[in-house]
This record gives sequence, C-alpha cells and structure tokens, in this order.
Amino acid sequence: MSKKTEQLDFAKEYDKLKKLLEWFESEDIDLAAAPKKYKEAQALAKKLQEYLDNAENSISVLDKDFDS
Amino acid sequence: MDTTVLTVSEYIDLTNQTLDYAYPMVVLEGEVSQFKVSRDKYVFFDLKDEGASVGCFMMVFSLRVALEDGMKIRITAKPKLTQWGKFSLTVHNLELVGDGALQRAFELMKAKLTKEGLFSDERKRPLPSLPRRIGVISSTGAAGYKDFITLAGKRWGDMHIDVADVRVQGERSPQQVAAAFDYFNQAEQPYDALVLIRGGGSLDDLQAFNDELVVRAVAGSRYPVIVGVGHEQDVTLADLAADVRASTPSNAAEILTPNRYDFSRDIDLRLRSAVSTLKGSLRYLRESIDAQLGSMRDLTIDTVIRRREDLAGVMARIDLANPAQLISRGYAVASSSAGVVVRSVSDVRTGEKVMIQLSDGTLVTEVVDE
Repeated sequence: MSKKTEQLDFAKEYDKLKKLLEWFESEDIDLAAAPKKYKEAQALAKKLQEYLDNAENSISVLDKDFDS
Repeated sequence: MDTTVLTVSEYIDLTNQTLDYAYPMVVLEGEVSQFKVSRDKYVFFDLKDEGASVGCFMMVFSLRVALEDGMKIRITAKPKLTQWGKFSLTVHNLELVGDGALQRAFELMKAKLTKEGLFSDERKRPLPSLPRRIGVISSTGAAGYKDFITLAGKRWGDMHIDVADVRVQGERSPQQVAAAFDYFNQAEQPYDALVLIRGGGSLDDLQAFNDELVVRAVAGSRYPVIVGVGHEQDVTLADLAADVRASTPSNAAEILTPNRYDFSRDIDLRLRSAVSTLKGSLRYLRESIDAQLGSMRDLTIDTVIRRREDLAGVMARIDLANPAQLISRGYAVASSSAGVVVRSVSDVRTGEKVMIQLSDGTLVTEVVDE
C-alpha cells in the first residue's frame, strides 16, 4: 500500500513533453533556442521514464460494510 | 375444558400469532402459476406442485427477476391468514431454480431492459486514457480480484484504487453491489472509472449479475463502468449495461490501463525523432546557405565580366572621338595665325596664313583662293 514515488500529474507532464517535442517538428524553428529546448525535453523525458519505471498503484480497501 | 369464545378477528389474530411462532419463515420450492401484477404495485401468484398450491404475495419492487408462469422458484416467505380468511405467503426472498428458469428469466429481463434502452450503444461512455482514480467493486477474497490487482499493478503505477469489498454471488450480493455503486456515485472526489469484476462460475453463481438491481446500478453509474466476469458462457445483463465489457478480470486490467513499458518506449522514440528532425533541419539549412553563397559568387563574376565589356565598349567610342586618333587618320585641324580654329571658308581671307596641324607636325600655308 505504500508508494515509492509521489503521484505525478502524469498526464500534464506528458502533455508538456509532447508539446516540447512538437516544437522541433515545426517549420521555422529558432535553431539558437534548440539546444536549450532539447535539454529541457531530455530532462522531462527522463523524469517521466523514471516515474513509469518505479511508480506503484496505491490500493485502499474501503472500511465500509456494504451489507445494509 | 374451558372453551374461549372468540370473534372472527380474534381468531385470525390468534392464528397469525401461532403461525408467527411456529413458522416465522418458511422456504418453499414450486412452480409459478397465475402470475399477475396489480396496479403496478402488488404481485400475486400461486406456488404449486403436482398436488397442491398456495397463494403468494409480494411488492413489485422486491421482485428483481422476470417471472412467468411455469418457472420453478424457491421462496422464503412468511405465512399469514388475511383478514378475509385467505391463506397467503408474503414473499421476502425469491430465487429461480434450475437452468431452465434462470435462462427464461434472463431472456425476459433482457427484453425488458433492452426496450428501456439500457443497453444501447449511445449510452456507452469512453474510458479515460490515463486513469488516476479508480473504484473496484468485487470480493477481495476472489481469484478474479487478485488477478486484476496484480496485472493492473504490472502495467501501470499511477493509480489510486479504492476497493468496495462485496459479495459477488448469493442472496445478499445484489444489494451489496448496488450499495457499492451508490457509495462511489456519491463520493466527494470523482473517479475516472469503476470496475465490477468476479471470476467464472455457473449460471446460478452469476445470478447477481443478471439481477435488475445490479444491472440498473451499472447503467446508472456516475462514472464509466468496466464489467469483467470470467466465464465461457454467454454474457450477463451487467455486461450488456457496462460502458465497456471485459472478458475476464485480467482483461479488465488490460483495457483500463496503458502499458508502462510501451509508454516509456514511446517517449524514447519521440525524443529520437525530435533529434533526427533537428539534424535534418540543420542539414537543410546548411545546404541552402551553401547554395545561396554559390549563386552569390556566380552573380559577382557575371557582373564583372559584363561591366568590363561595357567599359571596353565605352573606351572604344572614346577612342574614336579622340582628336589625336582623328588626326592620325588624315583629318587635320586648321587654325589661323591667331590660333583660332578655322571652321568655315569665311573665317579666312586670301593671302592669310593658315596653320594645319598634322600628326607629326604643323604646316604653314597661305590661302590662295576662297
């Protein structure tokens, strides 16, 4: 029942990564900004992958009697 | 012996008291006959065997299976003598007996609920792609439950799961399952989906999943429901009412969750794709710069050549106009002794001296005639 990692807002962070990576596919990218953006994407990807590898579901059996 | 004289009402009361004492509840099995529902509220039928029959009564909301004459049922009932001297059994619990009855009741209920539109495709809601908060309704002791939790845990780790531990078969199961749905529907924090699961079993074991109470709870759930009943036979009505149907509890886990390894690989691929697009862009940029430089170079040489040609042309024309050039070709410049250039015959008089400049010297001449 314990969680090794904090529950990330995974959907939000994954979306952020997708948008970052879409930037690289755009027509006129600012090449000067590319190295910094790539570093950012790489760091975020690493964070997400670590979370994917280590996160565990938290399971809680409700302390309630459903037999009324 | 002392014989007490009773009124009719007193006798009926006394009989009921005796019955209450002797048979507070009886369990009977028999065949349904003369089934009817009065005023949409009161259910009457006779329960019979080959030799006898007895009248039964219940309220329609207590009846959660479809009944028909000829079906074999088992009832738990309380006997009583009505005010009008009629013997009747008030049914507290009713179960179908035998596969035939179960199958028939299933078909009737299915037809009834289909007509209400409970199973229609338009009602089905999609599941969230990234589930975070899930409710599970199952029996925690059952194999199906463990399979689900294990597989869901392998595939995904980003979920919080609340489990309502209920009976998934037997008499008390439908109420418990419905109560669990009630709980989740009213919870303050919303859920992304609810999962109703149990392992396989006989048609009889699965009866709760054909119970009207359960089916309506699934159909009326606030959140999308996955129903996963492990069985080889046909679907249950709960399966039909579900937003998504899983073939087993494990299959429910597969449907609900993405696979963390696929996700991780996907992220990797996207990152690589971004790098290769970037490299492609850089290469394209470099090529286009080279091309531009090339055309700039060509442009300059062309211009120089053209300019030179123009210049040569101009120089040639200048040359042609050069007086020294003209003189060397035989043209002469005539000027008077005062040094003024003679352009016309009227500029000089007979006897006047005229200088004629040639390329290699000057002639002094005299006008003889004009």
